[in-house]
Amino acid sequence: MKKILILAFAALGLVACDDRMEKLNKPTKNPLEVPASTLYAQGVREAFDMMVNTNVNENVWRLFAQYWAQTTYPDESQYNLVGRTIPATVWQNGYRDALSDLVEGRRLVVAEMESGTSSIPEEVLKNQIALLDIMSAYVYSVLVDTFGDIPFEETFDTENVTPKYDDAAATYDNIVVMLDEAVASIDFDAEGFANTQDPVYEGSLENWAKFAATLKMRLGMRLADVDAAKSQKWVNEALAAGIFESNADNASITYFSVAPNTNPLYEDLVLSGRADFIVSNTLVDLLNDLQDPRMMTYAANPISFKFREENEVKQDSLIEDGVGRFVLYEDADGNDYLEYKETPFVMPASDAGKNPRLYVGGVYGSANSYKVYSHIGDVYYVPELKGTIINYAETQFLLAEAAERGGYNTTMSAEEYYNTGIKASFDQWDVEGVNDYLALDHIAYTTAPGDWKQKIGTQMWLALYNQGFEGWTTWRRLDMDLMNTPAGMDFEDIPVRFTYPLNEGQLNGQNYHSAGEKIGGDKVSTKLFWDAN
Amino acid sequence: MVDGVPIDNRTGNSTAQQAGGYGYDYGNAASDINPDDVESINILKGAAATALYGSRASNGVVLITTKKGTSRKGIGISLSTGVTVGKIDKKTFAEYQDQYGAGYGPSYGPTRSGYFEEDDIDGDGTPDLIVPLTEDASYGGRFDPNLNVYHWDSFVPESDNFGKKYPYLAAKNSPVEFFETQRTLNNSISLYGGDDKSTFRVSYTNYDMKDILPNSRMKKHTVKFTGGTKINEKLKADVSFQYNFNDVKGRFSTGYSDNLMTQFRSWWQVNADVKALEDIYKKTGKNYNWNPKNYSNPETPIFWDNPYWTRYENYNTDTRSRIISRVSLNYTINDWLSLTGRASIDKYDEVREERRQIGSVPTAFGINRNDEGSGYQREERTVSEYNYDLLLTASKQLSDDLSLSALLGSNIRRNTFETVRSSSNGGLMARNVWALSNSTNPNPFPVEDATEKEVYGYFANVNLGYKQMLYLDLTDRVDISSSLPVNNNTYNYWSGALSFVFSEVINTNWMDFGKVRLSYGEVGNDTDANRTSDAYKRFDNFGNTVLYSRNNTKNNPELKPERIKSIEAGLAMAAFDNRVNFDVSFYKTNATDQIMEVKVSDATGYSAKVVNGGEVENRGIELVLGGDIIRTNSGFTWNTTINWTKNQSEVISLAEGVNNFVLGDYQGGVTLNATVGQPFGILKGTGFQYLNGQKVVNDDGYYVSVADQIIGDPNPDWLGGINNSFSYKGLTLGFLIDIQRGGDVYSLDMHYGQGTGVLANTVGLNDKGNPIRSPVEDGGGILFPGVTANGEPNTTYASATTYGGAFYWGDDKFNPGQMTVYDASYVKLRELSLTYTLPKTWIKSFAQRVDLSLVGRNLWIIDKNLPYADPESGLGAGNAQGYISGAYPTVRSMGFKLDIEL
Repeated sequence: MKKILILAFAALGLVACDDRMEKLNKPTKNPLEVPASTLYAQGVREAFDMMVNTNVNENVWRLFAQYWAQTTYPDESQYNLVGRTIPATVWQNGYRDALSDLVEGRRLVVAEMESGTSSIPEEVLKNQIALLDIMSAYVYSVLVDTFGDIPFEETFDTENVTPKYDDAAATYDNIVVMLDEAVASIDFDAEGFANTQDPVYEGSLENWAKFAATLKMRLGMRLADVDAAKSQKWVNEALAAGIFESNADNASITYFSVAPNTNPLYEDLVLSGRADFIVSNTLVDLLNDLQDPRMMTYAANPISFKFREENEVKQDSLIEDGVGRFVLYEDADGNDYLEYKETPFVMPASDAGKNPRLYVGGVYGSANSYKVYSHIGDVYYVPELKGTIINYAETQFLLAEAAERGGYNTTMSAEEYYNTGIKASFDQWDVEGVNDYLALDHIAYTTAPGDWKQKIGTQMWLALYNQGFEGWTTWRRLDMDLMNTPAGMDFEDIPVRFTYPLNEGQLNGQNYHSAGEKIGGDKVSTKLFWDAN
Repeated sequence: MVDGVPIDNRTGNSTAQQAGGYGYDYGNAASDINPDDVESINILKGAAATALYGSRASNGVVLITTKKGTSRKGIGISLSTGVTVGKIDKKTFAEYQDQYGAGYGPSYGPTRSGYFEEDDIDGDGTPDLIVPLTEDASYGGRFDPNLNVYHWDSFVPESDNFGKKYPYLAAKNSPVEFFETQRTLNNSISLYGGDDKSTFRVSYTNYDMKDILPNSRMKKHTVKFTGGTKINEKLKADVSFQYNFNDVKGRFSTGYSDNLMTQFRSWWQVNADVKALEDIYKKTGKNYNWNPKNYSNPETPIFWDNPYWTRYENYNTDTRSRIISRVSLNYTINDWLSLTGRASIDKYDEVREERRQIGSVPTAFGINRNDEGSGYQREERTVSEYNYDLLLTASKQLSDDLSLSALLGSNIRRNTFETVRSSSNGGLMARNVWALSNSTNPNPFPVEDATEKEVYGYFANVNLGYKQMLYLDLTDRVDISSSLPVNNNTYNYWSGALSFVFSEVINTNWMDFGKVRLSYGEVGNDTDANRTSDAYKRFDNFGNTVLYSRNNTKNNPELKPERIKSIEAGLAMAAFDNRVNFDVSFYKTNATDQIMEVKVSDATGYSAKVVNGGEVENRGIELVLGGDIIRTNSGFTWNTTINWTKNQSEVISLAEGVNNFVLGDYQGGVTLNATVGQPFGILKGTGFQYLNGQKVVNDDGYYVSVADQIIGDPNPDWLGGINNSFSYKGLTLGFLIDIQRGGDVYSLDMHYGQGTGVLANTVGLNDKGNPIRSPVEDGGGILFPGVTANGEPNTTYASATTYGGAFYWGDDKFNPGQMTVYDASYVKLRELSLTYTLPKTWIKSFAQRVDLSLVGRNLWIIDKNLPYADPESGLGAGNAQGYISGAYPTVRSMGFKLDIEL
């Protein structure tokens, strides 16, 4: 008996050995090591999804830009950021989802390089770091442009769970340093990540260098009102390095036809089965007024005209608001044809048989019936729709602006850039008739109404349709007169930044409160550092 | 612990479900113990239990002893049959207003200022009024028996109302009628016997329940065998074997999204008749609901499925087969020393299937949680626990006055957990084919997990007794756990207890028994497996692009064992021939280095981090007072037991430089927190603004809201229970009253249910005698007590004409989340029972014993302050507390049971 006892205890003692205990506690179904390229691709994907989606919990910028209006629940178009904790989700999408994987990917590449035993050439590893940094710089720029001061220097350190918030202007400088250093370290003769792991440019380092320069130019133009010298320096450097030259350079991901890889818009507009969004009156009225053929792409579902009636008999009806209207008629063979009519005009009752239809935008900031308003254009319901974060048109409008401001190494006139920008937009959405459009008095740069900010800003806003964040930012920068205000609100109520996530108050309270104080109050009305005018 | 074998009682609910998100309630695996097999239940409290049972016993141990065979003549048979019926307690469910119909306010029709959509439905050339069917709220037009309008079923070809207008009125049948009668049948038979060497008992139990929701069914079969035999004079062997098979259909979904209770309590049109929805579903099998996206296409609801469709088409099923088995050998070395070896296994396999029929409202479903209109998900889980014990026990009278009992032992515990979850993607191809291959698109990568954990424990216990008066108990245990980093995986813990039975030295004639006790103990504890290293997470390929991501929770390679220190002092007395007895204890426990997952700023790259938390202190009093108040010679006894406990917790410290941990983050902007200096688990969110102690009201008459306030403390002030039993001869009547005093609960159901104007308290008259929903200029509105920003008493009536008014669910400016924080106090008649043991003389011809019993549960909530719900219906799993969302009503049940021993 005693022998058994001793044996039994000895056996127990032996079994609890360190190696076994350590092995038991290791994950067996998920890897502890992965190639950095997989984290890179995921980080890029997250960054695009965050900008492209239209989930009311995450991305409300198409509403803030007033391209779209809402149907049953207009909370977000009334700028309620609290109910769905939208700032917290944007913060999370930026830091935890996009940046986190990019930073982790960078850590792995750096470790690989420092190991000294890597089979991958050092030039390739350096190129990979450059690519990871360029994308990180983009995400940081979005976070600064959303919130103002944000954590930058003390981020991604799990030992420091209360990172301080850094000055927004200083972070801008740091972002540009990231971009400059990244591009400077690229060896164009070597590879970066494999083609298949780069869903944007299929491994082309030249394209990423152009992207970096274009982003730098965008950031430079943001500073135009507050630091002209730095603005000119950044933009001129970017131009020298080479920016986007056509829509082929656009920073886009082409999505797939099948979930979970469809364009995120498709999830929110189609797969959700809901009918939450329609085009807004802000957009539709402007497109009508401008006789802008992008109407037929940006919007859909023109609404059958309701004739005035007397004793149940249809009467000639007068349409007088605005400048003009696109009217869609049906001919005898059932084919639709389009006419543009300047207001005021009379819609004769005799036209009733031709089923006249008008584009009508939902009232921005109100609850709207899905049935009685025009819808978002069909192209936005296609699962494979490209998701774009920077387009060529934007660069041309920024250069038009630079030409107006002066001091930048622009090579064409503001008018020429303006025309190229509009052409780029028509080209991006395959819309015909750009020459006729440019010939219209109210479109032609020299004769269009308003100062250069109004002219350029309006067209830039139209060209940024489906890039809600940039649309909203363009309005913040140039203050064009085109926004509507929800009932009971003034222009001052339209947010010019997001408030910080409320949970930061609980998780990182001290830094959250001091950041709010420093920027002049954690309010939606607090202007960002570059938003001087 | 069942007969010395630890039983897995994890809930098996998803993390999302426990955090108030989506998911089904899969119950608790400890429910596989069959009550008819239970002989006795003991609860061991305090650190003393932990030497023998390990860290998991640090909060106490429930010791269940099951019935065994006995030496007897012939074979004993006992039979038991029971039936229970239950109905919902209407006080715990929504009460509907019956004055205003569908809508969010006057914003419909061509002018967008009416309560109805307009269209010429009957073709007479004039527009007809149509209920705004897309709107899941009841903030619409006033009901009017003379107003004929088109309703949802006016557009349903199979409906009797097809093409008809009919009066605009509140529905006859509200969702209260949706609930069915709960019915439980429980039958068991056991055979037992034995001789002077061996005993055995074998039993079979069959349990069958239909719950309060349609199409819910739970069936359980349990077979159990226990036996023991003396192999020789010194060696004894015991075995037990239990097999369970559970088969469940239609479990209840919980949380906010995809939960019928959310539809019923918050997003409903009170003009929708639930019986009409039942009839149309049963007649057509189609998903016609009150909520079509477009009335010309009534088969496609916009936000909510027909509730009957939800129950009959989108149901889940699960099966669980489980073996709990044990073998033990006991060897008597000599008259005071014995050795026991024991091996046990508890292993179950579960298959969970979730379904979504083609034609449902798209909802986040499957592995990718994309919105899907149909789908199928299958999860297989295997959970096991093995225990190997070796115990050397001594029991010796050292001298006339001094007795010793001692124990030396070891335990190896091995836990494994495996799961594979797969789902369809992009919907299903064929109706009613519940198969992964019925997926429209290729299946996503399955989600797999497999964890293992081993804990090696070595322990010793010495108990010395002096003259049956003074006892000293000392224990020590060392555990080595694989769940902790190797350099930190060994932890020693111990306890000491001293008790003095003073009734042995004080001779009085009134005191029967008196004892004081004092104990101190420390317990170490480990954590779940795989929390010390970080693995990457795979996503479905993006075309040919391979994607991995970091996890959102940062694990911790430097974890230390947890430590709980507790001190307890107590006094127990019985007096006057046991007419009075009481037991009072005071305790203080300090938990340090608690291993928890806390939320961190996303700027760290993670949402949460596993940490050793600071220190939480709990102190309190537990009091039991009871006795036979009346005991007569004729055999009548009235016994009362009163329990009273008061616990106070305080977070003393957290990690360095941190004074708040967010433990849970819920919809409605509410968080559950550990904050230094506060009780553990306080609620934070948008709160009232106060000026000189008064709530501040804005210019429109609404309460001003302020971000990041403490809005509630879910910890109750005290808990009490009063148990009474009256017995006379074979008849016993008992009742138990439970009381909770204090504690706060946040209700998301009230937050939205008031906002949508569904609930009864959103209508009525204000202090001027006018309907509160009338415009303020017509004398309507609500006057909220409070002050203006200048401190003047508020005189502005808040408008309640649309959802965005006085009952609105709030934003950062007005209507703070704190408006739907309620006092969770209650007084409940928890149980009422009547049992009768038939006199032997009546039954001796056919049975040894016959018991009849009638047991009522949750019959009456005597008092509560939370409207339309049971204060106990909140989320209870894990740390989640003080938050109610999509709550189910409480079931009042009455059961009849017959036990016969032949």
